[in-house]
Amino acid sequence: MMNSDESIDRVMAGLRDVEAPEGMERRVLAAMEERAAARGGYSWRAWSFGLAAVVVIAAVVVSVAPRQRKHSNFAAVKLPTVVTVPAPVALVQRQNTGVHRFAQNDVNFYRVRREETRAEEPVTSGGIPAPPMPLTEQEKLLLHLAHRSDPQELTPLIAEVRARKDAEFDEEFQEFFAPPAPVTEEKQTDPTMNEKGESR
Amino acid sequence: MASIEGSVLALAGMTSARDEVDLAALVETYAGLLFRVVHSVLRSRAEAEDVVQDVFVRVLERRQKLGEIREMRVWLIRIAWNLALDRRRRIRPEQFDVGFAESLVGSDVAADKALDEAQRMAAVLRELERLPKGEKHVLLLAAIEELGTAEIAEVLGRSESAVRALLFRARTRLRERLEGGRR
Repeated sequence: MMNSDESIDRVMAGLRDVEAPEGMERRVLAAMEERAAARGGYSWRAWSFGLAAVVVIAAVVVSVAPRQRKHSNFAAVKLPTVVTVPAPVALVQRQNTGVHRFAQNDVNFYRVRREETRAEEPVTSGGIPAPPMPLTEQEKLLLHLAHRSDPQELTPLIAEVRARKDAEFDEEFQEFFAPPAPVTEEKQTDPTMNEKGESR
Repeated sequence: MASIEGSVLALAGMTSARDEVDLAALVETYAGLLFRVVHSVLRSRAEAEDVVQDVFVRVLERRQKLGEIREMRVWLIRIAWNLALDRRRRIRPEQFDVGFAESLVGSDVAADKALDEAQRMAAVLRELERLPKGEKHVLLLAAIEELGTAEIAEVLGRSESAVRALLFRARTRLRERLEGGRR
């Protein structure tokens, strides 16, 4: 019967003396070789896939770029007409002189406008929006008033308040410039004036 | 033998001139030692060989940096040790311990005595597994003859004095538990 120390030593000796299986080194080397080949194959495939992707992207770019250039040229040529996108006549009058001439004659303006709208359709419906029109000074002031000024300054924009204000103003105006009262006798008896109304 | 030479040549081709480390020579030098280290944890020859293959495949993946490694032996043992512990979590060790315990019994022993001894070896392995982790690890690595205290300390990331203390405590605790279980 072994004691505990002997049992422990025997297990330790068994762990120490274990031999590697026959041919393990060869199998390990083969596994490494296989892995190296797989990595090489993988990298070759990755490179070829990447190259193919680049070629496809380049082909797409080459085929799309001239078309986009054509579109952009067309849009650049049509730009002055795009500026005449429906807008109040008053606004149109404030635009450059090329457009201003249409506002001088409404009949001519709307006739030409219809033709231009028809001509624009392929461009505007093709996803190329008209460039935004710049704001006029009055519009900028209105925006400033609406977004930055205090409510008291906004009251002129409310019709009722504006009407009341106008009425008050008219009343004050009338009071200030009211017709003079009829001349009384007292004025003639002013001690500082003589009979002819001249000062003494 | 011819196939080993072929593999050696192929692996020599894999190593570039810059990393100067011969992978085939590494396998020949350290495969046996790594097998014993891994086997001490797993106690299964097939599983241990599988883990050794994993170790060298990982070495292959890092072959560009092999030249920078100062202590190749300790580095390899640490990889093998960590992979073995990881594999240990995924297998059921009981069945392997029974086979290993039987292999420790001499073939010239009578059948009834052999059975008794095999059970005793299995009890030692069972109690060994129940030891605190630090003590168990030190005891398993100390079983490998080629490993000194300094190398064990480096593999486990402890000081040499700590390794000696853990080894002493592990043996004492294991003996006490075995004797307590016998009574």
